[in-house]
Parts: sequence; structure tokens; C-alpha cells
Amino acid sequence: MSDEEAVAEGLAEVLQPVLGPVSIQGLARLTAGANRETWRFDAVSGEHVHELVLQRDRAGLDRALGSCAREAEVLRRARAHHVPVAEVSGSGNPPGPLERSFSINRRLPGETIARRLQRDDEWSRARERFVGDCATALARIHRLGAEDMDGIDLPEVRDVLIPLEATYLALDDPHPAFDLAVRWLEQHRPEPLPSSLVHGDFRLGNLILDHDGLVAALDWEGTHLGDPGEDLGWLCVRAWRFGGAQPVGGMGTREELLEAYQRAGGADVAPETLRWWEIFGTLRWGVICLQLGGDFRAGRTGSVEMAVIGRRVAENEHDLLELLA
Amino acid sequence: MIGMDASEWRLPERRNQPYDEPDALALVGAVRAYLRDELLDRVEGPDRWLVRVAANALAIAEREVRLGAGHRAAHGERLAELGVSSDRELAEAIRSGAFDDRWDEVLGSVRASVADSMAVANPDYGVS
Repeated sequence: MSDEEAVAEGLAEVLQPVLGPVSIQGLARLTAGANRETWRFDAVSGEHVHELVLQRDRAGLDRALGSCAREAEVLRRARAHHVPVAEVSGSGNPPGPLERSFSINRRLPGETIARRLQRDDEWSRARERFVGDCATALARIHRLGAEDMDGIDLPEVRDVLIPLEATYLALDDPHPAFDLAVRWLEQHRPEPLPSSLVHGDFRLGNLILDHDGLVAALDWEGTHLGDPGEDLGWLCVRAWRFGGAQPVGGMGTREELLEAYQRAGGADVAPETLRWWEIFGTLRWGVICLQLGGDFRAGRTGSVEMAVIGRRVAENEHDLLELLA
Repeated sequence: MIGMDASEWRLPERRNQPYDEPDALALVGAVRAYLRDELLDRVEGPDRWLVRVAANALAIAEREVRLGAGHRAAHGERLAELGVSSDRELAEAIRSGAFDDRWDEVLGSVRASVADSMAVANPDYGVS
């Protein structure tokens, strides 16, 4: 039996209790990320077509609680609190017919590609609402705390600088601009905001929009408990402007973001606090570029794309120095 | 060759001895132009993105060949002015706090080297 046949058979079995007997059609593998694989498919029962997406942990990623099923549980609870996320149709951990930790979500209509969202006329209304929609979604995510995530194995990050600095030092490839940023971040820590659920990768590219605005925040793989400032700063990092001029996804200002966030029930965040988190986020993306380019340098991949990402490290150095000046 | 006008046949001076021309830079440039100006129009889907990335990689290589010697020399001079011999030494000194009282000077020096790095990696980036 091929991998595809095995997946189709497993899907039919796990969906049976939810949807009844279904036939799996149009199964196609979309991506193979570092930690998980994504498949799209339709589950058909009679005249009913359920458009769905399967996410499954990469083979060999064995954990007590798999990452996909854990994420599905976070999504269920976030959705119950009106956070815009995909609807979960099923999830589970091994042992089971899909062998690994998995989640099945409804496929959402809309667009994620930054360039189209920023330029094409059909998205003009979604663009106008972008900052406000993001602020509202983040305020709702950040209203959730450890008590709402009870029983889910979520890491709590108390000091974000420690793991980032450890990663940078482990790479042993010194970039003085990064050391300047680390030094500055250590010496200018803002007053922490009350700990909450943090999305961890909330930015243009991971957000699905329809013509009326934000539909869902995708890719909760890095969700954790910590300082909500992290999500706000990450949203402003220059890489996620994709060439757009404005700080927030290329579409709005930092002031608009902070105002809308507070209006939606989020904390009153000082511009200096947001700046700290934007500098932190820029350093974080810089270290990630260094890691990805490092995969090419170390011979772990021959991908031209990864090779060129190595040269994008300099963009982050540039951005950090602009922000530090 | 009797009867032919050879007055325009003269080739540019060969600077690449003992090799022939075109030199490395010109070869890379030819492939970059092929990718961007010819192949790109004929491919679809995810390959379009990869062709663009590949052409961009070659454009970086061309700029590095043209500008590298000057950038490396300038970088060495900047490090020497700060009294260090490598990025590693500079990074360690920054981390230890040794440059806290020369912050603006170090920031300016690192900025100049990063500007050179960007002039090769992505010269259009700073313009925004």
C-alpha cells in the first residue's frame, strides 16, 4: 500500500465517527515542512463534500503529546473564545489509523499570499481592515491564559532572550550587529505585560484573508504562554512587510495597531515596549535566516533558496541597526 | 578573406590570461540574463519563483566579484580602528560590555560594514 493509500484509508477511519462513512477524494500532499506534512482532500458522503486539510507530524517526531493534536486542542479552545481560526474536524495521537499526531481542519477560502493582498484591487477592503482585524484577533488570543489552556502541554517562556541567545551562540557564527542587538535588548527590557497565550508566528503569510478581512490565523505550531508583546512586535518585523512601506504587514502604522489593540480589549502597550519586541523579532528572524542558510553551508540541503536565505541575514542586520540608531 | 571588410573584427584586449574570455563574471552574467530574460517567461508555477531566486543568486555573485576586494579591505580597516582583528573578536567585546562607552562609534562602524554587505546581497533594500 502506498503512503497515499494508507493516508486515505486512515482518514476515512478517523472521520467515520464525525461525518459517517465518507470516501476520500482528491488527496494531494501540499508541503513538507520541517516538522509536519500537509495534505488537502475532500471527504465525500453522498451529496455532501467536506473540504478539508490534514496536518500530520513528520515521521520520527515522537512526543508524548504530538504537536498537531496539541495545536488542534489550542484551536478548539481559541475558537470557543472567538479567535479567528480554522474549524477542527478531528485530531488524535498515535496509536491510531494515521499513525502519528494529526489534525483535520476545514479548508478555508481566501488568500494568504502577501503580494496579492498588498496590491490587487480585489483585496482593497481587506487591506483597509487589516490592522484592525489583526489587533482584534491578537487581543482575543491574549485574553486567554494558562487557565484556559489547562491540560495542554504548552511551554511557558519567561525570558525570550535566553533561548534566542542560546541558539545564536550555538551557531558560533558571530555577527556584531546581532551582538549589539542582544546587548541593547538586555539593557532596555520593558515592564513585562501580563502572561497570556501567544500565537508565536502571527504575521502576513500565516493569515488567511477574504474580501471582508481576516478569516483565520494559521500555523500555531509555535504557540506558547508568554509575553503578548512578542506577537505585536513580530507582526511589525520588516520581513513580514514583504516590500510594503508601512510597518504592520506593509499596510498600517504601529500607532494604529496599538490603538486598535487597546480598543479591542488588549493591554495599553507603550510604543517603547513595541519597539523592544520589534527589535527582538528582527533579531529572531535574523537568527532563523542564519540557521536556514547554515543548512546549506553545512551541506544539509542543496536548495538554492536556502543558499540565498543565507545572504538575507544582512537584511536583518541592516534593520536592527536602523532600529537601534 | 579577399574582398571582406575586417575593420570591425578587432576584439577587446584579453585581461584574463592565461584563460580565454569571457571571464568568470561575464559567464555568470550571461547565465543570469538567460534565466531572467528568457527562461522565466517559459516556466510556470513554483518553478517561476525558483528561477527568480536562481537569477538573484547569480546577481549576488556578480556583485561580490566586482565589489568584494574593496569591501574586504574597508572592513579590515574598520575593525583595526576599533582595535579588533575579526568579527568574532568584535562580537565578544560587544557582549562583554567593553564597547558600552563607545556605543555610537561601534554602531557606526558595524553599520558601514553591513551597508557594504547589503550593497552585494540586496542593493535595493535600503530604499524604502
